[in-house]
Amino acid sequence: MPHIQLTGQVNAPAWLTCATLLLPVVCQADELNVPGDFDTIQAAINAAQPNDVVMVETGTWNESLTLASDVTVRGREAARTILDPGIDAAAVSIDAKANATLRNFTIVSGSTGVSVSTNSSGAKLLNNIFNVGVLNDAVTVDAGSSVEITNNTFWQNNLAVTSVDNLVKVKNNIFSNNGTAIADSADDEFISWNCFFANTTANVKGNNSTDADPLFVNTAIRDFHLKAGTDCIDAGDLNETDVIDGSRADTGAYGGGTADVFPYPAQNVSAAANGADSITANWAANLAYLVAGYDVYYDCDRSGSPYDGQTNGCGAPTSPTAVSPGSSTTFTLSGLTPPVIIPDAPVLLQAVPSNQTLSLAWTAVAGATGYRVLYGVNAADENSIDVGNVTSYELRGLQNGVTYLVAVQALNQPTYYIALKVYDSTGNRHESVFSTETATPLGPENASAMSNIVSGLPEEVVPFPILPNEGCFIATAAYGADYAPEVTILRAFRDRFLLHSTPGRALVNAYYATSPPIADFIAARPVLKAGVRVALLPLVVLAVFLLEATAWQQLLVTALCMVLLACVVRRRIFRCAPVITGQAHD
Amino acid sequence: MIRVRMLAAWSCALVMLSAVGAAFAQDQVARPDRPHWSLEIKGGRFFPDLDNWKEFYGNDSTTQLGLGFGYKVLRQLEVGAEASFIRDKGVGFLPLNQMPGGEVTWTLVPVDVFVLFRGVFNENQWVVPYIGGGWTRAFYKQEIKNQEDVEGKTDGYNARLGIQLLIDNMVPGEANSAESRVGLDNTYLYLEAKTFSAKKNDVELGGTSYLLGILLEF
Repeated sequence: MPHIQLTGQVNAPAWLTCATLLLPVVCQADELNVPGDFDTIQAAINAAQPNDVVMVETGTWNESLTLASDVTVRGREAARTILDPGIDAAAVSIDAKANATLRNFTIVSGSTGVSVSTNSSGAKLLNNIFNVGVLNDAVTVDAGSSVEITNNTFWQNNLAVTSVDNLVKVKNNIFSNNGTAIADSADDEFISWNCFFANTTANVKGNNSTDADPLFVNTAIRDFHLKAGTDCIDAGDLNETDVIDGSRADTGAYGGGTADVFPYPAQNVSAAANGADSITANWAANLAYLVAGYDVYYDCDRSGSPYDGQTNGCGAPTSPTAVSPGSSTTFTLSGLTPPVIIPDAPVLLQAVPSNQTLSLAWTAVAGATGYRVLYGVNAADENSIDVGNVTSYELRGLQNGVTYLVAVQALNQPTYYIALKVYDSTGNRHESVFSTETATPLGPENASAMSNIVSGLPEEVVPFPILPNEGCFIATAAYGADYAPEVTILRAFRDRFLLHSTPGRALVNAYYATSPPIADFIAARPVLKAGVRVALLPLVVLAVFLLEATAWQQLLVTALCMVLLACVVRRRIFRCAPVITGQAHD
Repeated sequence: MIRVRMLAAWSCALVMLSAVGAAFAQDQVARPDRPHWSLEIKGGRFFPDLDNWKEFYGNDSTTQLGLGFGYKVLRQLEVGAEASFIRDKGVGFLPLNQMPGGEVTWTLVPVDVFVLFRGVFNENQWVVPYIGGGWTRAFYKQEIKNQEDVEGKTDGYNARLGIQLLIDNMVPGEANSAESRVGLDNTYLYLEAKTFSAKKNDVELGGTSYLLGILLEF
């Protein structure tokens, strides 16, 4: 039987198309993808026709929604399809609509998670996670509206569910750590098979309820899968089954027939090289009760999926490599064979001289993971320095007036890219998406041929205009540079202490008047420079103390000095005293 | 020579404007007090007198900002002080390589003490020309990347002339309110041409500035 497949962004109503075609056709519901077909969820809802499904991919969606009649809005994965409108209004509104469905979302903000207004009928909230905060309500239903609230997880909300009549059916949910679980006047038969834990008021309500800690895997990252050992597993309606494993329905967002089946991706994946041919990867355990193990994927020629490490010569293990113990969180990829890739030689463009410095720039080379600068006086390869993956570098500490020969090499070190998937123990072996990828270098760096050689002659820059320096002469001569830390400290000491008093200013003026010839004398004699540095050391220490120490520290040190001084004086007195006494006795 | 001619031309223009301004002000009602203090904030372009400036700093002028205050000994005679901040970035010279190079940041802070003669004859006079001059101490600093800074000072003189527009007359209600609230008597918008000369080892650090400012009289 032929189908009419209505795709994506179709403005003409599907039902109209169907109605006008006098053919024996079956009209299939469209799936409108966000962000594939529409930029926003609301735009997709507005364009949807009855029976369409708006499929929302994982991510954080900062919008509030108004649902439409007979339209299902569905998240790809409940834990990672997050609705965060961040406004002081309802995140989702169902206002006088029939058969609107919201499923597989995590709602984290809004004054209300879902607001169902009067005269709505047949609304369904399925397999969602509500965590709108302890000041806000998760689901509010006005009188006269009918809603099914099934297999949701309510965690840390003010009021989880408020309703006033028997038109609201609450089943297979988990209510944990809310202010109030269910605030209503409905009969118990409409509230059934729910799991309750640590709600402040109305903790357990309805028929066939379970009072147990749901043992969520990790609420910090909103992974509300259940750990083994909780009574909330297989605690849902006896007549319903889980789509994940076919057993009796669990309570909460991952139970029942409309749950998403994906395990939560592996977290905190890291890797480090072990010698020349192996890498050990580590990750945090996924403690969800159905998780059976992990698949370790790797590649060495590029980042991202597909990870076909074995087939393209990266090493011995298959990729993916299953790590099945379930609780094991480490695996070593051994027997790897890092590829040897010799990059092309870069072109050294310039070696611009300045004071004791050559500023280098070179062309980028495809596949290079770093660069090595070579320099010397007689040959470029006398010295080398690895400078990282950059295309410019300031080669400092050179001798002014000496011509240097400089070249560059490109380096390539093989990098292994590793990612994990989590899989469950069901017959379908459901897999999570890839974890965040981690990259680690392995093996020796392979260097290109040397670039062209460029010569450079570092020398002191003569500023314009040429003016005399009236700076800190003696210290500059002794320490060799005006920007030496000791000179900077002494200059700060001058500015902060000496220049604020008449005697200090007089001292500075006298210093400036007499020091230039002394500085010239010192600058020409290296031995004298060292002596002056030693002589200036106490002054530098005193300056640091006065500049950096707090008032309390200064007071403490001063007191200690006074105590030491007092001890010295007393010692001298005592050393002298016997002599004096002896003389007296004699 | 050009600078002297410019000063002469400006002076003539200002004398004429002063007469016009005074004549226009005769119809206004005279205020009982006169202000004694002034505060001015100004900014504009500084054109150094150094011939090769552009070769090293890429432009023949640079930004200047200034802040000054003055005391009015008489209504037409004011003494004051002003500090300006002039900064530019450029390159130096490499004698062995015979090429420009390095990174140099040039900072010049001229501090002026001046006497100012203002052609003001009425508190409501719209246009007030002024001319003045005085002593300058110029502080300089050359920050050279990877190298010792060069800093020092030298003395010289300054001269200035300009024209002030009384903006109180445009919004008299606001002006009266400001006077009663904070003692602000007059507010002027002004244009100023200023020159200073200060040599260090025969190197002229001075130049000519063209500035736009606001003057507050208390």
